[in-house]
Amino acid sequence: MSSATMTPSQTFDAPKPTLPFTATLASEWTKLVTIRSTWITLSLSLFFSTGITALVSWATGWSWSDLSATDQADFNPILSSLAGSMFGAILFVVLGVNLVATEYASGMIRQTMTVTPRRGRVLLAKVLVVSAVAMVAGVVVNVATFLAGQAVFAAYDLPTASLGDGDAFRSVVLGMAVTAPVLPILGIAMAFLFRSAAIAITAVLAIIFLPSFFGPLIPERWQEDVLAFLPGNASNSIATGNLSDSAMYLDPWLAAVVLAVWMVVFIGGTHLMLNRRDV
Amino acid sequence: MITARGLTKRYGDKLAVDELSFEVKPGIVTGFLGPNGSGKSTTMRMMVGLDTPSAGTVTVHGRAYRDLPAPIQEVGAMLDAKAMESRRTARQHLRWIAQAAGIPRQRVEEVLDTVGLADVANRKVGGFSLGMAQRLGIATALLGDPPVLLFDEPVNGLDPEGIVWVRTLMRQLAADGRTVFVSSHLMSEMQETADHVLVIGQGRLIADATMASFTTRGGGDDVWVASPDLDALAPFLRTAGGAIAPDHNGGALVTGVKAAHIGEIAAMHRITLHELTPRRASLETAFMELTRDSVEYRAEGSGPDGPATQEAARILAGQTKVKEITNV
Repeated sequence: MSSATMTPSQTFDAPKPTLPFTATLASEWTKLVTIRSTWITLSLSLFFSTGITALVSWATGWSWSDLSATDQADFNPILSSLAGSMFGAILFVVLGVNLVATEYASGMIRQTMTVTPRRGRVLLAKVLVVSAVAMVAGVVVNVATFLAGQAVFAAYDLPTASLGDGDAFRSVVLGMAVTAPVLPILGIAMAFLFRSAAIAITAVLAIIFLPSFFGPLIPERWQEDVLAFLPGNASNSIATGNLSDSAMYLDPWLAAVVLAVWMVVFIGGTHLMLNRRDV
Repeated sequence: MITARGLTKRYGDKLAVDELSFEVKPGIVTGFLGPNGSGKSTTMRMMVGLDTPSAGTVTVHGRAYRDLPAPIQEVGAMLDAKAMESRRTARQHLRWIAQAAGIPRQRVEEVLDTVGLADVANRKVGGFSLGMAQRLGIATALLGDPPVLLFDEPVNGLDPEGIVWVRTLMRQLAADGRTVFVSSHLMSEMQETADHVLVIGQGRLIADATMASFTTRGGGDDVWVASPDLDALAPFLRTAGGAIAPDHNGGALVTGVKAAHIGEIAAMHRITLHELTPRRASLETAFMELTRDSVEYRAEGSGPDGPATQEAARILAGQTKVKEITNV
């Protein structure tokens, strides 16, 4: 209770070392791994992704003999085993949203922005830690999901795929690694914009899913020229575009560029807004 | 050293802070006084870069807060004690801040000790009382061992022992040579702590003075006198140059005669005194006079003694007796 730990009568002119970006990065990492919802989100992602795939695969195996010869020939063990993958990945939105929205809810954002008044640093640190976690967790969940699907197919003597296959590795590992950060980054941007978890999650889902609801209703030429370039479809083009046929899919390299542009737009827009608005 | 030049903040049509210019000097405690809604918190938020001024500047050692290379090692601020995530423990809360500021972990233990929270360091801050949260907020401000400290209403929610502790801490920090800037609406508290006062009302600076000269302005020589024979005493006091404002409690507030002199007069004329109290809490009076025109929520048509002004006095005076103030 004494002030003995305060340094008395010191000179205050000594220059302080400039705060490195790694300090901001480390503190955002601490926040992310100490938010309970992070671990709940990751567990649910694994549960739903593998669970839905297991169910869908089991249904496929069970009804296999009822399928027509064409349907049997069209069966793709990679794509079919990733049925649950999307449900798992959607949950990653929560990683980004909560790392921002909980701070606004508690008021802690003011502490964050006082410690690190250069707001772009805070934004970038949040983007990087969430992207890293989403990337690693996304791949782990997707591999588990893929293996669960293959195990069920094998049990029913259906064709199976192995991760060693080029297509399988691309979709299950590379595709997920590249696209897993997209939703959480959108979540960060929307949470900074709306300062509310519920609105931010709704906004991200609208950005991703509204086009695919309305997509089939509009002429195919527009699908190719417009919808294909939206973030959700660009993601799908990279992850599973090689496995199915749709006018809404882009060449994966083009899709990667399109996706990168979207990320720059969302992160850059959020940065501009953060610098203009009061905390 | 904090320097404000024409500092202005506008929210839509409302002018929250109106062209404030002042300097806050090191080595002393500077009190920042004003009624609720007068722009104190907005001014402090601009000092740490949370709000951007609509016009003007505020700098610390000549630099805008956002341009400081190591912000919380230059300026420690306790603005909103409850702005923390309730699930974190006190230690965890300080640790992420230390991490973000590149401050060694050991310093967290030091400040926990300084503010007396070492025993509850592993308790979740959600269960903290306002007083404990205030102490944690003060610990946060001290974390970077900064030469400049800002405290927004630091004694809110503290028990008497805590208030004395904060007062001692502020004085100690100033004695170290630090710049200490403390806002409060508790006039009496400031009188015990601050060497210099800045007073604002409706966003405008209405006083920038040493505590001594500020309280003199409020008529710093009031004496409270209670006597069963007040009517007999009154003429002698008037002869001595005093002005007397009687109170229906059988006492009177005497201005212009020192307490010792009143006692001598009473003794000379064998008049019994029940109470003879020099009133040091005249900061309220000075404050009320200065802010009479700038209390924001005064009721329509109410004069200086109207109910809204009395309400303002009640808020401003904190624990002091409102009746006495409004009767001055």
